[in-house]
Amino acid sequence: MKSFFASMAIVLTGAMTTIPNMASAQNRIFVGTVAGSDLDGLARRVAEVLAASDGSRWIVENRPGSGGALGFDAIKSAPADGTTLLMAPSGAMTLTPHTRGNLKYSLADVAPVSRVAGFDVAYIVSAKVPATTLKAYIDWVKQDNSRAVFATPQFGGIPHMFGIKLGRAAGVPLDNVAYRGGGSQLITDVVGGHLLAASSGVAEWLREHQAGTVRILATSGTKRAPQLPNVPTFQELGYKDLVASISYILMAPAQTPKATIDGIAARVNKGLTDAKLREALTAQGFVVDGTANPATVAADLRAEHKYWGDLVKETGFKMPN
Amino acid sequence: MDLFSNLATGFGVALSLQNLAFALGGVFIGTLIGVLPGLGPVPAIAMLLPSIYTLDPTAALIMLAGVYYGAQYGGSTTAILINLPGESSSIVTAIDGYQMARKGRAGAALAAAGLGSFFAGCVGTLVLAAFAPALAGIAFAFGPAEYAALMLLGLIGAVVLASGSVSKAVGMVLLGLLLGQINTDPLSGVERFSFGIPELTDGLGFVAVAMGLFGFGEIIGNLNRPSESREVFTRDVKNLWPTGEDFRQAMPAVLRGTALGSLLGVLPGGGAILASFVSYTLEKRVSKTPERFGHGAIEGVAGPESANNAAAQTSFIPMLTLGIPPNPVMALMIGAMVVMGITPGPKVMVENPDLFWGLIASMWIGNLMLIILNLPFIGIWVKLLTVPYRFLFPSIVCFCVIGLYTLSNNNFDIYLAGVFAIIGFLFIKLRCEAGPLLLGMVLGPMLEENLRRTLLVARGDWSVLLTRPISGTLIALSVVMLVSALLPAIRKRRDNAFRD
Amino acid sequence: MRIKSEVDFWSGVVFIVVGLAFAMGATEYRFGTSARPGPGYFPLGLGLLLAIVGIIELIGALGRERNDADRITSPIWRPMLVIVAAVLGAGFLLPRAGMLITLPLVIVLTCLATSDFKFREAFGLAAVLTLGSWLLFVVALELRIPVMPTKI
Repeated sequence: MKSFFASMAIVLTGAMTTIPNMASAQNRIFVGTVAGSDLDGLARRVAEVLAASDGSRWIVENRPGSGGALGFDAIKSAPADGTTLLMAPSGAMTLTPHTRGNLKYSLADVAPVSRVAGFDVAYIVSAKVPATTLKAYIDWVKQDNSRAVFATPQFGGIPHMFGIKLGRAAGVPLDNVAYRGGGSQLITDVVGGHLLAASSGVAEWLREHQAGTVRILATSGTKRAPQLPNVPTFQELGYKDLVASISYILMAPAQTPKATIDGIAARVNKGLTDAKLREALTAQGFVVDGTANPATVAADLRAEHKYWGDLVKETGFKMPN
Repeated sequence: MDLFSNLATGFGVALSLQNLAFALGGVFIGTLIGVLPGLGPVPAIAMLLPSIYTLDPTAALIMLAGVYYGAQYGGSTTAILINLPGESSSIVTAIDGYQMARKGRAGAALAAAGLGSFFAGCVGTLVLAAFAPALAGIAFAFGPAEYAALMLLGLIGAVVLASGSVSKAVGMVLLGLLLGQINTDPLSGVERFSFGIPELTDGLGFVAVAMGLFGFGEIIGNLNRPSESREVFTRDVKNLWPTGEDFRQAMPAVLRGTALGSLLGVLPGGGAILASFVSYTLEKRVSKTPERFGHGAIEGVAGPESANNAAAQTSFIPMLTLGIPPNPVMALMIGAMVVMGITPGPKVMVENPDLFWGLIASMWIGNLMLIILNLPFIGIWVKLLTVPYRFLFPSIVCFCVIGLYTLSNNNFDIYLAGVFAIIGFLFIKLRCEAGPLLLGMVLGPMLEENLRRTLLVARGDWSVLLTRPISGTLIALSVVMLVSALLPAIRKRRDNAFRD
Repeated sequence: MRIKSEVDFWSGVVFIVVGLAFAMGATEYRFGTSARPGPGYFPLGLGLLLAIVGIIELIGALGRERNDADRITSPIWRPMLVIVAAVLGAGFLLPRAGMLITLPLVIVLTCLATSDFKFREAFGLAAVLTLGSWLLFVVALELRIPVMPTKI
């Protein structure tokens, strides 16, 4: 018993030294995933940027669950005074509301602050596929229908919808095989040739593409991805309507005063111009943004919301309940 | 020898005083996190990352590797001491480790786990250094069909794992598989059995269920015993160190476990869990006294722990050679490497030999630090068990509740563990073992997903499972194992029938 | 026929009930075909399989002689009720009242699970554990745990 209290005492005295840190008030950024996801990592960089800009204290609070919906639950009931923010992928507001019937949040619940970073959707084939261009791939699929299968990191996500749209535009009945939120098995399955194609975010595939184990045939931006200057966009290849991106948005509760939002946006966007930070994030596959003001981001999100809404209506796609 | 000159380079890098300090620091943080129920290495590393970016890359990775090993060993410690597996790969350790602790042999169990892990870590490091590029290919030979077959083999192993009746074990595995069906079906987006509760759409959390079934269930079970037998820990704490007899029994298990773990660790997703309990199954099969298993057999601790740690070593192979992270911890480490300007992949070896070999050497040093740090701790841990149980169990409940909350900053996991505490107690009363259930719950979703992916790719042709060489072999093995597990049971039942 | 082994008999009953419940629930989801299993395929199949295993278990538990070693001893309810109440109570209180209020309540309640508990010890333990948990989890590890009651 004595040694139990003794060891307790050691822990306590060790902990005492950090108490002064607790004094200043904490601001929070909610994230709807577990710690360690790429979204979480990005949010932690934003927290650093905000803290560095004026010495305030920012921490990331993970609220994983229900495909990110619990993060929105958290921000909906948070004080709208600029002390609590949420970071989420754009698709959670622009695509998911169309596909999931039981969603309890919408674009109206949040006020965008900044588009922090993002990446395009890539169409990837295994090196075991003979085609080196998108056109050759489509022709190759048309020769044998059993080849018309593509993998996606998540059922009903932007890459999945994008693949459906590609199939319709190219006139091939592409069949989807979904994985559980991406991760390594999707990559090894495609590299190993067990699955021949995938529609997925660019970031995870850069290394494999450079190593030659997979080929990125095209990316979904209006411009080529900066890390992939030799890979054409779908638009260049004649698919005018195939434009999409996955972007990570910093948001505040909807009632937050405009001046507060603009102030935070200015601090974040200024911080994102830091060359070292940009370099680090670019190496991870992100395209750092932070250029648009809150009003523009909101308008872009509404446009994206309509884009996916139209596609969902057109295809009759619905997440089954 | 190239290998030795390379390793010499590595030790030259890793043996600096600064790096040793980082290795020790990492192992310490990791052990602390691992011992606290519910806290895992991933959030810890995610939180450490920002401050790590400023460090020298080698030092940073050494520290992260230390956290990873430390957390793993810490998880086994709680599995042995209080029947609380901190992560899925220490479920198996809890089975015999906790029984050993109850018999006053917690010290021997912890030492066996530590020494076995250290040995496996040394071998794993050598395997990593010598065969990394050759072994990397294994990961690619495994597609959906192979994974499905491997999971099937694992589940059948879970049946053999149980020490009681086979039909009950089959039932418990099936029950676990069904609990694993509470999720959002990844292939169709359907939310299954969630009853409109958003937290259930991501599936039952492993830690919450394990804490309820094993941790709380065990406390309730203990309190149901008369208080004299409850204090069994305290009465006869035997020598802290394993006896010669223990070493003789544990050594072959450690060797086999190390070999298994080194191979299975290369597979992304589930390699370490599978390694630990395939090792347990194997030990029980080859043992001349299988009836000791489940009642404190030291092989049942040493084998799986070695397998687990060897797998932890070789799971670095896909990451270092290909840049593909096999688990979330590795994904974070890759993130850290990238930020520090290193691109993981085949070129790391050539472009950053210092870093590559330094990291490999530091893994070995991390393992060494782990054993140096933890062997003296064994005494403290065992002392902790001499705390009267009436102080011990409220403390466990308190730490568990906090750990459960921090899993996702949500009280749902606390409720979940509370419900599973009732279920766990029911299982104790019905003499159903919870181990197979947990394994079913972890492996089931992977089995279903991969099987359905196989069928989608093969256009509904089930025969690919048999015609592909690796999956065919694995399925043949599963059948052999199932038959060998069922035969004695059927025979016994028939004998009983005649006797009646 | 009598129940030979109570333990096995009731295990069988649990398996049958849970298996059938899952199987029935699974009928709400698309079954698909064997070539293209839908989300309902596995839960339905596994549920029925579990029910079958339950029936086998149940039949095996029947026999003429009663096996006294396999009787289910009646549980002592107090520990289970107290522990479960403490855990569920902690789940309810923690996000609302914060850990500085929740933990002492939960720890003292937990201590009530045994009959050999003494108030003085329980309060002492509660004080030590609460302070220790706050320093360890909130101060040292900086985890996100509500400390004070939320003002609502």
